Amino acid sequence: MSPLYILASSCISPQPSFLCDDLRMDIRCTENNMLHCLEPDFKNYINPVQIRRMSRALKIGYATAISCLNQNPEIVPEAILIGTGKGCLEDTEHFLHSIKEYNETALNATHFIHSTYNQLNGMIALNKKISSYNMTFVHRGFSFEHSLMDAALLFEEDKIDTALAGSFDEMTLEHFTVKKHWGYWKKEDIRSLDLISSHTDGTISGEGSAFYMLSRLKPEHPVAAIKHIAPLYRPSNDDIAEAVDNILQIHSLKKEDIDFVLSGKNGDAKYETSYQHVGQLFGNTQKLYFKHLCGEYDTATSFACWLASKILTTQFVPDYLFDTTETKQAIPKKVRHILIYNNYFDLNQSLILLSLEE
Amino acid sequence: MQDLQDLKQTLKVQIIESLNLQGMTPDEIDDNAPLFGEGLGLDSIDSLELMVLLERNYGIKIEDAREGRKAMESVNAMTQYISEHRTK
Amino acid sequence: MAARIIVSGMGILTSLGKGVEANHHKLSNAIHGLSSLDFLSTNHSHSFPFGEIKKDTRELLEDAAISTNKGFSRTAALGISAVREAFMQARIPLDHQLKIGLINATSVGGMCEVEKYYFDILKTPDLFAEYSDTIDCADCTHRIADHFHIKHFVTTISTACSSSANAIMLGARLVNQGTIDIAVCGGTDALTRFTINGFNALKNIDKNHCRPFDADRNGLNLGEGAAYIIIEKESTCALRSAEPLAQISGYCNYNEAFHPTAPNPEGQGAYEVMHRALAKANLTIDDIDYINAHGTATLTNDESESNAMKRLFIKLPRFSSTKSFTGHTLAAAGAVEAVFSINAILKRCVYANLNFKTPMPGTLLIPQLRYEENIRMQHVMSNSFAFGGNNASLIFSKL
Repeated sequence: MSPLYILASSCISPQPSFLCDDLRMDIRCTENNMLHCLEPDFKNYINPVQIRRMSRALKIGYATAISCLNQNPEIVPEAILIGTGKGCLEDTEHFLHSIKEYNETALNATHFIHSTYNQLNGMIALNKKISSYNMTFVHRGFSFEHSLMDAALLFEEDKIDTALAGSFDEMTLEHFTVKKHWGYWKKEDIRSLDLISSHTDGTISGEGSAFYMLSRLKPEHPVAAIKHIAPLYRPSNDDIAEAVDNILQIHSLKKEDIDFVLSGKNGDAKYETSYQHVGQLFGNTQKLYFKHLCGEYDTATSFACWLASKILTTQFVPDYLFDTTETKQAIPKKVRHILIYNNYFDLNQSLILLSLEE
Repeated sequence: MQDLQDLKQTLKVQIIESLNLQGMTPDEIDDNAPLFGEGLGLDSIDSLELMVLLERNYGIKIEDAREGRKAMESVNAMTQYISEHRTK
Repeated sequence: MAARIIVSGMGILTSLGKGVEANHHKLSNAIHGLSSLDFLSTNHSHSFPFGEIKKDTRELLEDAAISTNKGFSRTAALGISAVREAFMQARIPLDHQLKIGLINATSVGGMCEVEKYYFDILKTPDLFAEYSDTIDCADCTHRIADHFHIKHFVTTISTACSSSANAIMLGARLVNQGTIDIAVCGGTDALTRFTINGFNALKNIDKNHCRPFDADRNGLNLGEGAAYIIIEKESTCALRSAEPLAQISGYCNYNEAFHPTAPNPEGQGAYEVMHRALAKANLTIDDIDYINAHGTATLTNDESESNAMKRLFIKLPRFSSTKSFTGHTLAAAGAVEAVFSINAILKRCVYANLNFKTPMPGTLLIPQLRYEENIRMQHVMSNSFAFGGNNASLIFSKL
């Protein structure tokens, strides 16, 4: 595939990641199995007429996208590609409640409009006057991956040069509570920072948004690039091993060339074996983790990509990405290749390779 | 006449609430200024919300979007329309 | 020269019936599929006409030979039924070992089930564990993929009313580029209280049968349905001795960035997307024999689309909106109309636009008023325009 050179990125997450350039963040920890986004002052990114109607997810997604665009004001992206597993959940819930409350009469259209999954795509296009290819992927743990793949496909076929790709997802209290009963979250409350070393059933919920300005052409300065995306639908261990070999072969890499495996391990005992399996494939390669920072959600890999790209460009590997219970390997002098592995409830698994391009 | 004045005040509060016009006070809404486009700067989605306001609070059901536009030209027009058509 | 991307199978289920032939029969005899609701429970059952499929979800699942109905949504059942027909026509055995992808589109996903139980789920979630993931769009896609052993690429697109047109486009691109050999592309949407109340809140549902392109049109009718087409290169199609039906010659996805829900009345976005689809197909305006228009019969869409067609085509080809038969099937509409467009090529026919009396004063355009056969059908354009300015246009060509 065509490499996706990351010209700019922006990320709103449960951590102070927004406008943070170098991963030197004061990490937050919760104790109720829920990680909510730290919200910036949205008024700096959204005009007053629009902000009054927007729900949290839209505000988070929109501010992330706009702050990403603002970093290269001279670039008008030639495509907008967004992944979201659940869209604006709060609007969907609100409309369901008002259908009942008002017995199917006199309903506000706003929540219905915002419950359509392509709202954020449309809003960015409209406000930034970006008339172009515009696509919304809504496939759980593949939503973000497919947005990236579409960008690569566009770069290959249409010779467009830039694309804005990203993701957003939110968690509401209502959805959290229901999913708790369905066994998604841990029964016992844990400290979010202890997630990775937890071995009980269930994980903790998360949310967030990340956007990337992607370029077909490599800029002059060193950048992080997304080199490979492999979404794997209900894969067996063999399928995963084959996909790893395939990626290494295509990019002429040996396993030792991968400096870090950034693992989506989510502390849920049910999925531990798959993460162990990928860990074993890479032997002594240092594992880094991210779900204790952002929680589990459909588009969590978009947060992982943000971390990986920052590590590559700053060469700073923060301590909070390590599992303190594991033996720490020597950090390579130069970090060149990071492989993200994620397992979304066994259904949607993915491998994403990011490399430093100098 | 006092009734109409009261209705107008109540309506302004309802408009601010239903459209979530944060930081705005009833006094800041000019009775005669157009609600849409120039003036308050509302749009077509707001007009749908205002129709909901009329239905929920005053029992007025506007079926025709064009009639709705006319009834909601300004706060004065809306007050007049409500006083003539309200069923609750 | 790049290999031609062709369609080798089609499947469809709408209020007109199950299967391409059943749909064609109704279309060619000017029999619409609109009625009041018998199966979906809503206060609006008799307020508006709907394109409802007259089977409950359990029956649909039985039809699709699914023995368990645990957690299967109506959207999944509709989708499986339509994909099955497409698989048969394309001669893809159920136990295939092919590199197949599923590019599915939906706007309601599992909402059709979740909305029935939502408040019970909130009260006693433990009793509804089978719906634990049904609220999103991916659920029905997974069910379809698993039923047909599709693994290589599985995705869901939701760009409102242009969703399945975009699914077809993405499938064609993935096949062209070689990510997959065969793409199963289309969409499925069931009627829901959620969408009915949503469109009613937008005040654009007609109480009567919708009148696309008529001066006195007064909104859309909602429908439900599913449709899929099988997309591949001619070479892989030949391996199974399947018969290529038509070529996908052009497509475009273009956001017009005009308004959150309404199109530009001048039709700027609609013009651009049709124009670019023609350019992609290497065709000129004279080549198009029929346009299956988006034609929702809302005040804004039909004005915008008419202006765009009039501006782009000097001599306007035949055009009609088959939504006057099926209602607007939302995310499925692009694929439903792609099937109608391809069938028009195969049968050298053109479908009528029902309920038209008076041309719009601005454009004076008159759509195709009756069904006709034995006409030149070399290239057909199918439009899908959506909320958020998400426009799409596809062009299918005779082989």
